[in-house]
Amino acid sequence: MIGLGILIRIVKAFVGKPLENTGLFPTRYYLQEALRSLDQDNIGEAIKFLKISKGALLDRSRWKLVRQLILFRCRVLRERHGKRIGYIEGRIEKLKIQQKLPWRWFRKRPTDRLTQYQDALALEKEARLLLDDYERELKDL
Amino acid sequence: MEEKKLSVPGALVGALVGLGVEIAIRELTGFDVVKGILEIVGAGFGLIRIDRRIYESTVRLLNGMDVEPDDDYQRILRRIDDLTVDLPELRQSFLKLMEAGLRAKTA
Repeated sequence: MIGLGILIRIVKAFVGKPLENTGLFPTRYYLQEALRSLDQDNIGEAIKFLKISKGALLDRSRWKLVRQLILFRCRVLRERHGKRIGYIEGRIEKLKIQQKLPWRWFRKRPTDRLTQYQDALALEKEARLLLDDYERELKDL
Repeated sequence: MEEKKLSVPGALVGALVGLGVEIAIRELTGFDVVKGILEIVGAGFGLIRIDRRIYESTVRLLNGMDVEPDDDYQRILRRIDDLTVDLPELRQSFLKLMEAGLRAKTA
């Protein structure tokens, strides 16, 4: 069985990767790959594999379940980014208020802290937008 | 023993007829015969572990949910409801997993 596993892996590495975009492989192959991408939170690639295997005949219910798993992960990640955005926005507000206090004028200010927060906020918002797009794409599949 | 003769025109005609039938079936019924056959072959070739793989991913995703230390069962259920409002099959899977977990805990 170990030999068979290694053989399958070798065949997959040499034949699977170059030919997987053709859509010739069975649905289960693409579902396995989609789940592997999902394990690494690579939603874009998981959707790509799901799209390739869209016209599944035999494994339609499994395909649907994998689609739902990806959608669920998108939502969990989006929620997480939403929490971070709330936290960072709170910190920025706090920093802005602190900057207006008179005693702050005489102290050395960490000038780049606000910029760092704003950069992080922009990145978080970008990530959330990307996840929104993925979710829309998955719903349309 | 009679010698077998291979006919190239015969093979070509056979291939064309096969292609014609495949296209006709696809046009009439919407089913892709070649893809279907490939799927059956694939299902037979070692790709039978997909159900286990889906189960593992489902458990991993359920564990990957952000749960606060003071969250109780009802609150987690509500969150699952919110997140899977339009994903009925997945919701069922999650509920079954949670029930199994609870049963194992109480046993």
